[in-house]
Amino acid sequence: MNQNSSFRVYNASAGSGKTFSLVKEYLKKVLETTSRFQFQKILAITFTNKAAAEMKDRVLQNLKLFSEGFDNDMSVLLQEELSLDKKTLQERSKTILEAILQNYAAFNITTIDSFTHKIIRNFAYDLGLPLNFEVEMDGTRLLSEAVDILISKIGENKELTQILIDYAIGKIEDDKSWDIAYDLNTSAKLLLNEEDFLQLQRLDGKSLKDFRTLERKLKKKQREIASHFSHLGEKGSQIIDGLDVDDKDFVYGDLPKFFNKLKTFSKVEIGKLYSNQRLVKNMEAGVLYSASKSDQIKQCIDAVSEPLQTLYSEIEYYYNKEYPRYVLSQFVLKNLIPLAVLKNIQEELQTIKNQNNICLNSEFNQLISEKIKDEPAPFIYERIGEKFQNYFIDEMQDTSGLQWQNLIPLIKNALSQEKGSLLLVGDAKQAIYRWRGGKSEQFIALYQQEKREHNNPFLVEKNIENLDTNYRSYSEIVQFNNLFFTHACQFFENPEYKELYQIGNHQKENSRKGGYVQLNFIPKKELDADEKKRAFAEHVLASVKGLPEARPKSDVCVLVRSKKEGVVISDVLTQNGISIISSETLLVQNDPKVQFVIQLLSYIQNPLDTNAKFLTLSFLYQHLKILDDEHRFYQTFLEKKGEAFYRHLSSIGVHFNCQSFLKMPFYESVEELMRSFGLFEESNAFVTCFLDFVLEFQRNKVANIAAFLDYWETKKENLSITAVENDNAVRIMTIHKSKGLEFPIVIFPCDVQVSKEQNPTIWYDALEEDLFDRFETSLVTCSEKLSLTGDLGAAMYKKRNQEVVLDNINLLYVALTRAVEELYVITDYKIDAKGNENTAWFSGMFISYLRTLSGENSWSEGRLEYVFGEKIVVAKDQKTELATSLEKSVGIISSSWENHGISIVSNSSKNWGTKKEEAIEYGLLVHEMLSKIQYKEEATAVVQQYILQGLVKKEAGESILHQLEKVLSHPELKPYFQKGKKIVCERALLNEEGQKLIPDRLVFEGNQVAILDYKTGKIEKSYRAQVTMYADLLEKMGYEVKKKLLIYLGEKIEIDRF
Amino acid sequence: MKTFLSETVKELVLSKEKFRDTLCVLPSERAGVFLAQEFKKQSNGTIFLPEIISIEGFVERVSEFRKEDSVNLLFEFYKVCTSNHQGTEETFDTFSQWASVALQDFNEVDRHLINAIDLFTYLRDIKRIEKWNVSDDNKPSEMMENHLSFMEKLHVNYQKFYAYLVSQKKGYQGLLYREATKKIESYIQKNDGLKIVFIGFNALNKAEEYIFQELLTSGLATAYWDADTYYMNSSKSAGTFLRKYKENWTYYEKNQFKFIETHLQKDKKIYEIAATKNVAQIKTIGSILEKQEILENTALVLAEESLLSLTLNSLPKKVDNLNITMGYALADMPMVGLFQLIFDLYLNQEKFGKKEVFYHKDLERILSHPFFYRLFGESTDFQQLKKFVIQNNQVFISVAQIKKNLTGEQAEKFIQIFEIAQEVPKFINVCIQLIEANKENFNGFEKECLYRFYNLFLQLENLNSEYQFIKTIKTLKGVYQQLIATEKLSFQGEPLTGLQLMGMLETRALDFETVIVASVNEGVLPAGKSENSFIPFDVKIEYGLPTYREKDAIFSYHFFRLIQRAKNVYLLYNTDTDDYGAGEKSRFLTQLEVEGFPIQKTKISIPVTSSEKQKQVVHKTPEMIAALKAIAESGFSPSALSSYVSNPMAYYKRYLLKIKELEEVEETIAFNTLGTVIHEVLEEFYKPFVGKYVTAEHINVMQKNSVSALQRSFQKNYQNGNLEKGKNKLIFEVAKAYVSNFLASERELLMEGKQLKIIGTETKIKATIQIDGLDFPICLRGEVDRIDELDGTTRIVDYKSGKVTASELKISDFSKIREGRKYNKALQVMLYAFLYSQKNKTIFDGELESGIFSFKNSNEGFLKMNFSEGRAKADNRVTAQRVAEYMEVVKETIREIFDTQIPFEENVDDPYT
Ligand code: SF4
Repeated sequence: MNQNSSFRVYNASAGSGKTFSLVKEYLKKVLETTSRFQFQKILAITFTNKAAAEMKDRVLQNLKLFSEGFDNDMSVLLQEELSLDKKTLQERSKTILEAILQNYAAFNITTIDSFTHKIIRNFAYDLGLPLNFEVEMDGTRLLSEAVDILISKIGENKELTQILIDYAIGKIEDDKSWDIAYDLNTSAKLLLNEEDFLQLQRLDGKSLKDFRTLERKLKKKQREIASHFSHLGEKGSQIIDGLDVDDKDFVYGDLPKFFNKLKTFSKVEIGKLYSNQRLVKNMEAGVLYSASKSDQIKQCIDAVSEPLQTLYSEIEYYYNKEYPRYVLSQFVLKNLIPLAVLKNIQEELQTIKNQNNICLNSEFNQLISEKIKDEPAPFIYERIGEKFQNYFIDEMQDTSGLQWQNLIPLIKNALSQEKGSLLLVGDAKQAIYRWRGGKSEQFIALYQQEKREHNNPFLVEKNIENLDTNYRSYSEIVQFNNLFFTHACQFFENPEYKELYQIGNHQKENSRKGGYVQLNFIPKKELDADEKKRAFAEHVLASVKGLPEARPKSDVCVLVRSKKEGVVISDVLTQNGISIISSETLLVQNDPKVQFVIQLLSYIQNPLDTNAKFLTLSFLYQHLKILDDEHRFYQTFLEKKGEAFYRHLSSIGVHFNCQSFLKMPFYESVEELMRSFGLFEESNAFVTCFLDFVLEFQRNKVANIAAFLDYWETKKENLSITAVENDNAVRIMTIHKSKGLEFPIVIFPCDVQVSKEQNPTIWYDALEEDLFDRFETSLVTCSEKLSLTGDLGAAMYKKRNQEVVLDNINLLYVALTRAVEELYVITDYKIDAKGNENTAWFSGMFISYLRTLSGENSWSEGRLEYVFGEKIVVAKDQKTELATSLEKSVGIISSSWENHGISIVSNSSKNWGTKKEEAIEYGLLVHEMLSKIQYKEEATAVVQQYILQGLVKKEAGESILHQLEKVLSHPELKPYFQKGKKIVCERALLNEEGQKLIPDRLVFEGNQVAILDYKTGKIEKSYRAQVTMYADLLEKMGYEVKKKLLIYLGEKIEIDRF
Repeated sequence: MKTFLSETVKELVLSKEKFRDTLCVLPSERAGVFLAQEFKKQSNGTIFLPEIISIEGFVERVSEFRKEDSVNLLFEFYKVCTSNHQGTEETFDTFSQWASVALQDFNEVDRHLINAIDLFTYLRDIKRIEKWNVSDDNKPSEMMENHLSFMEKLHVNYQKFYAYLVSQKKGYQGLLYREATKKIESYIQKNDGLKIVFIGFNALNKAEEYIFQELLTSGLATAYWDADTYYMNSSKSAGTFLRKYKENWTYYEKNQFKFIETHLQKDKKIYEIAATKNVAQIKTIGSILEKQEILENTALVLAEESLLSLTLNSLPKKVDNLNITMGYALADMPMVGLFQLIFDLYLNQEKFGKKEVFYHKDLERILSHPFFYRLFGESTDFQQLKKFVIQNNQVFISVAQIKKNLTGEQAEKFIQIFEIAQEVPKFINVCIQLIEANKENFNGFEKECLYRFYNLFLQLENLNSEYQFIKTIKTLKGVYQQLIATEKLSFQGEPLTGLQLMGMLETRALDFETVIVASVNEGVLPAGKSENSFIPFDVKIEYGLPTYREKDAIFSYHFFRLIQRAKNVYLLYNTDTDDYGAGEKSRFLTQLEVEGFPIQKTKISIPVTSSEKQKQVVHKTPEMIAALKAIAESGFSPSALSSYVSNPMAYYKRYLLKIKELEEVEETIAFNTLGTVIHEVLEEFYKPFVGKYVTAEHINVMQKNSVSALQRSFQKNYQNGNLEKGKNKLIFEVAKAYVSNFLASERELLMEGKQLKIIGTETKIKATIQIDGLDFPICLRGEVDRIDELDGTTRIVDYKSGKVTASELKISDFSKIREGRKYNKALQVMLYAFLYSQKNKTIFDGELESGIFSFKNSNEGFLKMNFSEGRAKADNRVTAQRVAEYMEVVKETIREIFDTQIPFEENVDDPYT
């Protein structure tokens, strides 16, 4: 343990200036010493690239400001906290800034993913990974490929075939789709999730056969239990049937009904066996018939009362003993088969990864945890080439279990050093990424004081600090949230969660007083689901319309839970003339021009695709403002096939040559296409974004239309342009996207059942050994019915339930804390007949909160609107300020490079083809080789080199060498290729005018020179002039020309000497 | 404009030399062209153009060794490494993974004249473990052991390989450098009278430093550097290297260091331009160029060379002179696809674990590849094969089948593509032959591409016959890709005038008045820490090997040198963050800003002017009305009416333009086929019973026959498809279950004692109707899957293999049928009811029900039309009045179809458009 080391945890509620504090701490670390390279020992980890970029920028901007001698809030604090004077701060800032900029690569502010990626890269060889692996972020795409391959193998492996077919048939029996690909894909996703993966490892030893055996065993057990229950029911019925009483003579006929139910036990819904509380109570009290029955009947029944009571308790006993097993088996069976084939899917996935040199981003943490984490920290540090002493981790609540576990050893090492430090910043209330592995409980444990391993894995004392001022919102909003969420903590059963919301909601106000909160309840009991959605959207519209003229629409953000929810709101707003920005409106695939390009490419790729052809025509009809009637236009063009079609386009002013289109590199061909159809006439962000996509595709893949169209299909759902900020449009955004952002006005239409989850599953990892064949764990549906499997199941359900509640209330927290000035909450007027709210829903939580208020905002039934504070008055011209920022648009320039007088060099292939051309080629080749040969000895090596480079066929080597030899060994020429002479090959001579002349070979001896020039064909006297020119120049330079030789390279070497 | 090269030449020509024996050594080939140009400009009198070579060429010359290219080197290395290992040979694939990294390390070690034995001894030394904090009682971990033994392996192999290469008088660049330093002395002696000029160098490796100094002190050489006081007289990383030479070289104790000038901080305009993504970036450059008055002396530098194709399409028309120093990657040319497809053919064969058969998609892709089409498209063989592939619904197609379809003369030419059978030499050979046979069909740059591929495959052939290490197609592809990665096609343009388009490295030693640089982003400029190396960072530092810091410093020099003499500097960067964290602007921009250079910042944003998507509309013309009348006469089918109410535009396309669904290979049995098969089988079973009663015994017989009936039907509807494998097997089993479940539920009914009489199966009915206002014949037609009588109730049954819910058949107000797709099924079964009543002139004396049996939710049994309102009890009786009400709606629909005032308009809310 090192006394100088520190471990601090910042609990940073929404708007508490988290980034400011983080930057401040970072600056303190670098400014506290005189060492300018302190920054190299710091690793700051953020959650997103954007956050990393922002933090980097803030650090640099502050240092720049300080080094120029300016002051700001930050510098004042720093001077105070570090007790530095202004001048020292300025000087240190200057040297540090310089040091960072000149050693920028060591400026380590990065995301956790980048950091893990770096570790993996450095250990790639040790881990047996391909050294040049590519990272694939989209694991699900690969998984579905793996599933497809697995399915294609049905019929090959008997075991697998049987299991999959049985599974499909089983689904049919339940009236479900037989398409098992969906189920397999769903369960395959478990492979990408770290928590699930850990559980799956526990099933590693189980073979398909084991799964089958277990399946059969469980089914058998179920049948046994069911038939025993039926038997018991039968027994009961027999007793009653033997009496001369009506079923109704028992209290409400309950008991006979109960026996009948037992008889058809397997059809009774889980948990519904004892659904009749009246019967249970009566049986407990020993009441079999109502007091009003005739004595005879009473006697009759009394006679069998004892056997009935015994039977009933026998059933009860059996129920208590076996029913939990029955339920659990049922649950396990439901998910068993997809689990069984997971390993096969994983194998296919591995093959795909190997074939394509891919690693999945999602497996990095796993790999580190299994293979690297336990190596000593110095070893790891050495391998990654960096050694950190100070760690800053932002958004700690979203860090996954493995991510944190993997960092601990490195941090432990850092803290054991002099002046090591760790700062964790987070807010468990804003943890909304559980589905991506974020484990907020981890942070909850870390900010708690008691000493336990998971509270503090280090040997250094921990300091916890609450950042307690809200710098974001106006006071009304801060107040509302403080009170509301403090109230909300009662909706947790988990004490830790309760505490989280208790301590986290005493935020202090900042200097901005005022602000506005409005709560609206929409009565919508009578409406069906679609109409309900619409009613919410209408109210959003009303809220937007209610804003003053002067308020720019871009101040408004509508938060939604899912993209889908946003669609209705988008529709309603756009239909009413309010422009919006949402993920949907930014989707590139919705742009008509882009759609046109895709359709045309599809048609080019497959000329039989008439539908695509029709769609391109339909676009062109509008785009080119065709005057002809539609039907004739379509018919004429549809009739024309192939080339004729493209030619006919010229009749509507489009000149598009499909043949030349196919010759160009893919990107170019797409741009050419778009140019031909006049799609660049006005600049359009969708079009440029699409082109970026095409370019990116060409850079990564072997580009052709078919591959592109496939790729487009997989990516189009998510390809969107970045929103332009300065826009008079309302934003519609998911809460997840809004995290970390703020907006002047937030409108939040919502009503969510806080414990609801889509298809929840959970790992039941305490399976009874005997019954479950030593399967340690299995995936089961997580519902309240899990409690029927016993206390353990009940506890599991409860834990999960509380997590879900936390996640949902966190979502609410994030949503409500985004607003700076005004907050509008729109929720359901959901009260029952007695006027009670349902606090399992957001709406109920709001109502329950309003009930606690006294005064004007106290809840009163039937009132639909509650208002806190006053709307903010907006100055008229606030908007123009934004618009002056330097922004300009570019018109799209697009033209073919062939317009600029360039072409692709095709010299080497010019003489490749016909016999005659090849003869020329051959001559040129010999000529070229000769110019590379200074001395005779080099010939073989030169030819060898040509062969190695694939320029000459191996078989041709001999004959070329032979040809060369003819020159080199020619009695007259031999002396010119001998060592000891000064040789100048293919060097330019410059005459007075600066013109270049290049003789093939000059051979100097002292001041004397011989000129050799190679030619092909017959002797031509006219070549002599050229050589004479060389001679003149050489003589001008003062050399004496001894020989002029023109060497004709043919079957026989001929020499023209003069 | 005074440039570094012009200043240098100015000094050189002062000597009045003839330059026969002058050797100019430059950092890049490109600079040589400009240097020659300067000589042309400045020479007076006749001279030799000095010999201009790159430093690599020079070193090759001094070392007297030949530089081996990287692929050959890898093969040689493999040969050496595996020479005395026996048994546990690793494959070339896995070997080349680490070997190329190792070779890079060797290269560095040698270039920097590191004592390799020392270094490698240290790397594998057990003492390193101590540094790793392994406490005494703990043994080093397995990973450490492996690491050390791998280092030992490197150690041994380095020595072996070095010795081997020396014996062959060849090597990698570093080896040549090391050898050159050994030979520099004798080189100096041999080349008396030679004048060497080093021009424009910056970062030298240790070997170069040694060679330079030796040559300088011997008097054989002079050197010209290009430095600016901005970074020379400070600790800026751009000056790291030049400062070192100036200060440390003894030569410079007495000689002047030329040139150090002051340009950078003198008047220049710097524009920093931020753009979202690359297209915006480069298109912006287009408009910058458009605004330039002269393009002379302007350089457009692409720090990211892959932006070339984009840039080539973004230059304004006014650019009339252009020179491009970068090459166009051969890998970007469409022809690559052809070979890629042949690779895929065999790699996928491997992936699916098949022999002698090909995946149909690969085959289709080859057959529809434009080159293939151009080469063979005309031949009937080709067409025949293509048709065969498309129509045969086979997932895998055998070589024999292909051959059977290729019988014509042309076949010879490409039949061989399918006969490679995973044999590497054959693969290469087939590609070479394919190229040779077709070289005359190409011209221009396509022919050049083809020629390059020809070279490439010849190279592969040589490599393979020389070394025989390529054992699988996968390995072959790896080597092929390595070769192709470096292949570039070059451009012919104006080499010296006009706009210069170049990569960052080609700018070395050159100066321009206007400089435009794209992608001034971290990770590009500088490239960042992406190096692959087995030598840890600390060890590199200890031994004086360069790290990413030196690499960054090199970039830094390139960058600042490039802009030092420029007057106008445009620096563009991409703000878009991708998954890997790009989008950070380069530190160089921040440096300029912090250093107080006047920078004008601009942000480009492209307007979001999405053209509103307009509805498709087609106005009715007399021609169309005539066509519609013809349709009416032959009869509107239920699906036609459904199509119209769902989306009039879809109706128009399908029935007036006759646009059909695409015919594709059914890799797996399509949904339609599954439906057809079940229909057929049930028809076959029930047809014999028309007019008769069915008993449970009959059903038992059907159950028994169902598998064979299904098989027959599948054979017929799904030609040659394989039912034993893959999804098809699954679907076949599903069909079996569907039929069997259906029969079981029928049997159950009969066991309950119900009476079932079959009245008709697959009954086609057509009826003529009168519609007010339309004075021409109008018919309706349909085919009813089954009509039966169950305990006296007549039932009109439609089979469906898709899912049907009760709500789709629950309708009390028929006008809802026209509101879209939701009640399509009701529309259909009601129409059957109408047709049936017409045919039998039924007066609805008995009970009549109409509905659907859905195999997908067979547990629900026969789903009937339900006419009750709200939550009232189901009312399934099809009555005369209800049919009449329904028919009113149908008539209204048909009237609308003929209404010339109402165009066919797209229903944008329909989910299937
Ligand atoms: S009185 Fe006894 S014997 Fe008579 S009907 Fe009741 S139980 Fe049976």
